Amino acid sequence: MGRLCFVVWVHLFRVAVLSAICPVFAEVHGIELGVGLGALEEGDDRMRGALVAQVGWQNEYASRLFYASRHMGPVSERTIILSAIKHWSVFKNKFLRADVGPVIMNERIEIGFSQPADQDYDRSENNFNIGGVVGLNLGIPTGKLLFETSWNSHIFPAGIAGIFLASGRKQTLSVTVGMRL
Amino acid sequence: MRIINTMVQIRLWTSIMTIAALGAGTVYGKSLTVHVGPPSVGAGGSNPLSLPPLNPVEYEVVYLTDAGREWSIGLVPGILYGGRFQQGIFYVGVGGGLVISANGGGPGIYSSFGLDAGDRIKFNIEIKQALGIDLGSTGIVSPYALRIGATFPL
Repeated sequence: MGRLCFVVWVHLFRVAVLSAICPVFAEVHGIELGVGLGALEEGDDRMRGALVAQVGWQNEYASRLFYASRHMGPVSERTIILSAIKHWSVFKNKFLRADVGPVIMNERIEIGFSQPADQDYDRSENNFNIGGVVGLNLGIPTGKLLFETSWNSHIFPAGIAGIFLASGRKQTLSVTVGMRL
Repeated sequence: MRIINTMVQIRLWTSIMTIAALGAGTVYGKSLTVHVGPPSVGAGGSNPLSLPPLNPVEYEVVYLTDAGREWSIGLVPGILYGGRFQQGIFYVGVGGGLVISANGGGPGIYSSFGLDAGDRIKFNIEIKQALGIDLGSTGIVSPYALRIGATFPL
């Protein structure tokens, strides 16, 4: 499921790149395209670096992708967060907006040993979650330049305990730079 | 087990959206919302709601004025004041105040997203996140809470 959504998102990103080549298409659709850097919440008040890509539409909707990975010896971990965001005007202000929308996240953990004798112990798992995102977005609302700083909490119900409002969170901070096509 | 968890999550979110679709009432009005739900006081996530919910840290009261301004008072995420911006039964809140977490507290900002659905006494569910500067350690505190409750018109 996570892989399918990722493939769909990459396709949308390709469409956005195509729109850069064909300005007529871009004007009709009002597409925004951006990349940037972010920080992704781990545990115990730690954050780690992440890459961010963003496709927006009509200055009102956006899809944001976070990718982070790390390697510790034979263990590697990859986190992908993909959100669909509606920008929400607040305080009649064009620069500050609230972000809300659904989000999916997949964390893949792999244990891979280089020695053939140890490879029987190789393991991998995918942890897929569906949740919601809420946050704030400060940026330049008009013009060709897309510049956004965002603070978002991606909240995921904690399985069956979600009935009792238990949840997990991936908080992110990001800076995205790009262009409106 | 993972499939069951995913199905439960989908069911939970579709239930929330169904309740939202059936709800009514989109006009600002002076109201008081009583929230209950476990906050996350550190990083990562929250524990389940205590049963019975007697822990004061799980409660929050939100007072909404006629002008669409809201006061949120709770041990976590703190004492906050901001604006509420409504579209149908959904709303976002943005503002600042005293952010409190288990790791400390200090001035900060918050944002929230929720829904208020119903006729007179409304069902409310809200996610609220806050980000503040801990005056004790000059570090950052970032509590959040997912809470449900009831909104009473005043």
